[in-house]
Amino acid sequence: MTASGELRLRGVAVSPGIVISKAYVRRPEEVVVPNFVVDPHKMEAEIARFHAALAQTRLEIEATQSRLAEQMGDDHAKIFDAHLLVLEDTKAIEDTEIFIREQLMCAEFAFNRVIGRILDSFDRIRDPYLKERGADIQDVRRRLLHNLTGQEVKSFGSLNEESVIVARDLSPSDTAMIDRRFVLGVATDLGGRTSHAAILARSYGIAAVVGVEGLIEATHHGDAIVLDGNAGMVVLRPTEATLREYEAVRQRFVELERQLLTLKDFPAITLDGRTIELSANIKSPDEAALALAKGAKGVGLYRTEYFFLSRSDLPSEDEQVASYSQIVRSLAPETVIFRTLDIGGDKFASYLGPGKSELNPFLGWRGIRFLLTRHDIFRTQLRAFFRASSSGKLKIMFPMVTGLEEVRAARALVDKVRAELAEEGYAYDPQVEIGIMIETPAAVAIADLLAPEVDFFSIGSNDLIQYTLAVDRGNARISYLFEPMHPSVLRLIRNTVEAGHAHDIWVGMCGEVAGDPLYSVLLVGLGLDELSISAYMIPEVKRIIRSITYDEAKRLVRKAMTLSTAAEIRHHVATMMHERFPELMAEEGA
Amino acid sequence: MTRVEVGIRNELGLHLRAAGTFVRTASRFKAQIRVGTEGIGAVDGKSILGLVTLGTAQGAVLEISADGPDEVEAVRALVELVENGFGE
Repeated sequence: MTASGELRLRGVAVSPGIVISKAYVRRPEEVVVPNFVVDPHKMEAEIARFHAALAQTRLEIEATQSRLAEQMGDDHAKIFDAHLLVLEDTKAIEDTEIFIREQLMCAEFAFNRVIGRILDSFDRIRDPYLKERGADIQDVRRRLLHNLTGQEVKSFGSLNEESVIVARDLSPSDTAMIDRRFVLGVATDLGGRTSHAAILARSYGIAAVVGVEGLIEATHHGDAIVLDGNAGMVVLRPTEATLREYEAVRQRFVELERQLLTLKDFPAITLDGRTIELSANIKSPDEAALALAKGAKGVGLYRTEYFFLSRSDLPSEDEQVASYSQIVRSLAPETVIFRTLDIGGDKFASYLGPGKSELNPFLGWRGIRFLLTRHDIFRTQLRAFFRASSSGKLKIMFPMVTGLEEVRAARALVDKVRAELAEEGYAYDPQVEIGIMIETPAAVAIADLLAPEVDFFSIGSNDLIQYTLAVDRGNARISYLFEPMHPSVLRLIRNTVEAGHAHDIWVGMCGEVAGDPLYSVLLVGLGLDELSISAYMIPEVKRIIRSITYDEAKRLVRKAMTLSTAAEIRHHVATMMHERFPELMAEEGA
Repeated sequence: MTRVEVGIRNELGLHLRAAGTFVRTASRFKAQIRVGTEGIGAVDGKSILGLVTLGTAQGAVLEISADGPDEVEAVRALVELVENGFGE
């Protein structure tokens, strides 16, 4: 194939950006699978050779995994845990051995046949995401065959200038070998939104188009290439006119990005100078980059329970220290607010205790109640927080508080832990602020008693609404009662803010309500000092805050407080927001 | 033998990483564990390659059975894992 003119190919846009560059073509590797017959006397040696290759492959995967963990975070590296399990699969190993013994065929041939049968069965899988996972198994097969035959794995060694990578598909191993300094974009023949190429591109923030049929056959190494990750288009060997066209498109896109970026580095401050700390809710270390990219001022809610739920036993103190330190370091110099393990309610793990056997789990053994009866778990987590505090800035908060005794008991344990750590010679930050979640009506009612004994309040909107209105949002018959604009909810928020400010502590809110642009002005007007929201919503909410005055927000609240039903309040707020921010409210029903 | 059916709730279904978590949990138990799904015969619950070939997407039902001294605990742990969306 010697196509030389301009060629436009359509694919699936999976990561935005416009790149005009040259193509680095990575052709699929042809692993030649030997098929020699084994001398019956040498059968055991052949099986030993197979096991040696398994062991070597294992070391390789582990090395790749730790390298990738450093570059892209543990979450991306986790896929290699699964690769190791593929390699250790007892059934596949046994089948290969049986094949060698019975057919007297070499290990390469036997293993290739066994894995081939498994890959064949992927053909009938319909779900596209699950189907793509066949690529992972191919990846392991290729590594093992390389080690058996002694062939070198083709690296990206010659990738030494800025290029767009053109490939049939990228395996996790490929993505681990790519030198990110030189990759401007990725285009592949195969793959969908969740292919490794797409994941790599999004985590590097580079453009990518996948599923471009016929791409690799049509591309020569070094061809000029235009990659449009917004529209899902690849142009090979563009003409002068096309280049001019895309250069203009590229500049418009860069300008838009620049505008967002300038907003990103500005604080969320009202026109009359009131600053709101706008931070992100996250649950794993690899979400930190996204939070920062969207302009978050630190993390206002780090949900530690996901770390516990994603495993089948308790994480040790050292494992927790490693995880918490990683997140704190990646957000420095900003602060991370860690919520202690919030188990129970709708989150269970049998090794932890609370289970669905409770009739009313949301009124049951959850949050601080659980921790105070499981000092072993609580103490370990607190120790881990304080040890991680030497790596950056963090705060700690306790969930589900209903009474002052709970706060005192938790603080007593904090003091004990700090004394222990000091004695053991660990460094920690003595200024770590200790706060509580305000998510029960009881906590609001005694907010004036709680405030003197903590450093901050963070209102958990979902639970506070659920407990105040006595409504289970998961129950379709009554979910219409879940109403953030209910006068009772607004009063509770106002009371919490007033009690906090009267004792000179700051008051924030984390939860879905905080991140809904419809409520932004109302929440600012209620006097909240901080909003911790989904990273994706930060640019919009920040834009709203930067376009209003604190005075007009307070006027909106004063008016809302004179209305007596949720429907009236909602109508009033929605009307105002649609007038002021029609472009942001387009999808909100009034 | 202990048998139970459980629905897959996580968005991505029984994908490779989820299957890995399943295998690691299953391997903690002595009991033999078999996993099947509608229309597809059971595979070894301790084999990641077996599990992924089930191609079980969100909404599908897994049939988990265990046979051995700790079969009840094994099934309980695995059901919980699936119901928690493999901790994702």
